[in-house]
Amino acid sequence: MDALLKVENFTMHYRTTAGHVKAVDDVTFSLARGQSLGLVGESGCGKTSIAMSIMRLLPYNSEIKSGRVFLGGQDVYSMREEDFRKLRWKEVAMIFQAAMNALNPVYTVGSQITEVILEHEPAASERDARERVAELFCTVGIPEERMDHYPHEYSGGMKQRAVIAMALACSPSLIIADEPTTALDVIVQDKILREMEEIRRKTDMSMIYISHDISVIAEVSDVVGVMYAGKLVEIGPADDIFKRPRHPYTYGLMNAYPSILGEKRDLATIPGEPPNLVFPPEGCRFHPRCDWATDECGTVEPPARYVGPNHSVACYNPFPAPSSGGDRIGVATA
Amino acid sequence: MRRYVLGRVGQLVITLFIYIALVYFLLQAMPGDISMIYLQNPRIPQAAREELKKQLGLDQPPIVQFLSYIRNFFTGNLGVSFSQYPRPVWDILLERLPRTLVLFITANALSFYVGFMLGRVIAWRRGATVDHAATVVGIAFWTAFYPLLSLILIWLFAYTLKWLPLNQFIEPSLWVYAPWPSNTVFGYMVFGIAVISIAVFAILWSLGRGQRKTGRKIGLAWALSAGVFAAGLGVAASAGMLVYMWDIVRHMVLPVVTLTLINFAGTMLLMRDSMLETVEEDYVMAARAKGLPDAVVRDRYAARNALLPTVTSLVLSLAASMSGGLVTETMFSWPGLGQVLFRSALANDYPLATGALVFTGIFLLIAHFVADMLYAALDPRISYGGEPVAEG
Repeated sequence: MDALLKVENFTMHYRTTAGHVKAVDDVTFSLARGQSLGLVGESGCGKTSIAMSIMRLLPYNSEIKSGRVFLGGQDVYSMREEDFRKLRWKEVAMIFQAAMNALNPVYTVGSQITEVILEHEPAASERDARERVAELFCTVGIPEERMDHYPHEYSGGMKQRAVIAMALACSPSLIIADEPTTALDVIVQDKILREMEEIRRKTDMSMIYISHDISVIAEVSDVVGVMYAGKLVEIGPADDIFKRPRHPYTYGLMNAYPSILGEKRDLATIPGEPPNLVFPPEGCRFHPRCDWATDECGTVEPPARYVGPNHSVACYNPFPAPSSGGDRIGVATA
Repeated sequence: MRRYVLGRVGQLVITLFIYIALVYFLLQAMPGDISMIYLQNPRIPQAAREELKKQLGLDQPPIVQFLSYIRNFFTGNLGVSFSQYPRPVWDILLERLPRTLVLFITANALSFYVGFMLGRVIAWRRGATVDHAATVVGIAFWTAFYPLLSLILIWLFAYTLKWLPLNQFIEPSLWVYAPWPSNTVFGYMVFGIAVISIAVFAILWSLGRGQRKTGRKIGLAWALSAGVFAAGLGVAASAGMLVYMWDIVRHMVLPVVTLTLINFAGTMLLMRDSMLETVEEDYVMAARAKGLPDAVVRDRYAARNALLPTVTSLVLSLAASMSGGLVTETMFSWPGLGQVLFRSALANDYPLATGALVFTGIFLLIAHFVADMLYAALDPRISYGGEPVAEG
């Protein structure tokens, strides 16, 4: 498999006055060309930190403890900053959390997109760039003449579309969408997600969706990674993860979301709170909140191990695959 | 937009009227009048003083005096100076006002520019040595006792090193045989600089419109600007004025530098604070993610947005330095409006003092108006009475 992105044993801390925040701990995954990965987890679990690590846009108080990131075969952190700057947006673009604020208020939306095209494509003329923006606007469904308007003249949904158009500007091989639709109402959210997926399929781009909203992830991802307290606790094909979650946290997350079509039931919440990442719990970081924790869970960190093709889980007592009996799930809902 | 501008001009006229009334009655409220100075001379009889008052119209009730002042003001007649009788006030203001305006506008523009540039750099490299150094130096000057600082600079650059003249507006020995009065040369100089600035601005604007900044374009802009400047110098030299203009420029250096040193830290710290907020904005992070060069992210994203609140401070600092103008003009014996105002107020010369204050006021009102317009030009989110903007 041709891996576009490889993150290997990546560990990153933030230095704060309270101590080192262990924001990303030993995360490993890879993403093939054309594939979409959904990263899901509660706020503060390290999803955005991973995105920023891939973009090499970590704040000054971050410290990479170990691990490497490969993008298109190149080691991101061994490159010179200036060389990697030229790869940004051309290789990997981003749709920001709160896209509303990702546009500079004092320039027209169109000029902010032509700017990036002209920066990365020295051969392109200004007219070429404007034509490209017109096409992009057409793709994302904004009237072309809106190019010369300022961000404050756009509605929320339009800004979101403009930000998507901007991400597509240099036809990157990977787009990281960090909470791309969180600020929008559900109808617009759904529409935009579908359109993004359509564009992705057409262009054979890879995509990382980051969201705390499992329904968003479910809609668009081929592969789903579940994060908890800086750890990637489970990763596998979307179908597997949603139909047969193996990690107790993944299972809890699934049950914490309502289903509109399914039968009515009380939502199961996960008791407790995510841990303080300055002093994460010993052993498995989830064990204090886990109903199935054993003594072992509280002492030694569970290593990630494969439980199926491309499906790995970091748990000593994963739920068994349904074929070998579903009694544990029965216990969980009881 | 047009309606807004017209409305704003209407407001300006009303404000000006209130301002004139205030100035007029405040000055009138000072004890005594110009005839008091004859009290010191026992040989002048009381009757002569009464006659003088009558001649100057000071025996009329204040309200009558005020109404005739206003009537004359709006027909362009500011009266004659009492203390420099019978010189018209207009004549004195015309001589002094340009010198003061040029001095303070230059000093404020320079200190704004220095403050903006430094603030931008130290905010971008916050916490670095350059940040601490610029902040300490800036605050040291900002809080320095202004007359003392100017004395130190005069002592250093004019007295010890002899690089610059001590004070005054011109060097009298040079101008004895000058074919023109100093104000004529000064007028040509200001006019020439204005023309050159507009030309350079037009060149930069027309060449800088596109987003693609090629080396050729930048080189062309520099060459054209240098050409315009050289042409201006050539015209001045061929008229034989250059040596006199240079003399005036040399005399301006010390006051301008002193005012700049005192003032730049205000803009710098404001810019720094403002930019520390904008660097946290998502669009700055987005600009970085877009792979734009560091200088572009700093200038077009962080600094451009941080500029907006600092523009307001430009006008405020202009007002502050104008009101402190007397100190500057006294320290450097700069024959400007501040000195006129001071002396005429001491001498109960109502027409001259009122005229000087009113023109300072008019200048500041115009500056406020320009700042409003500038703000609207810099921030597309502000629309003055234009079509409502769609939000959603």
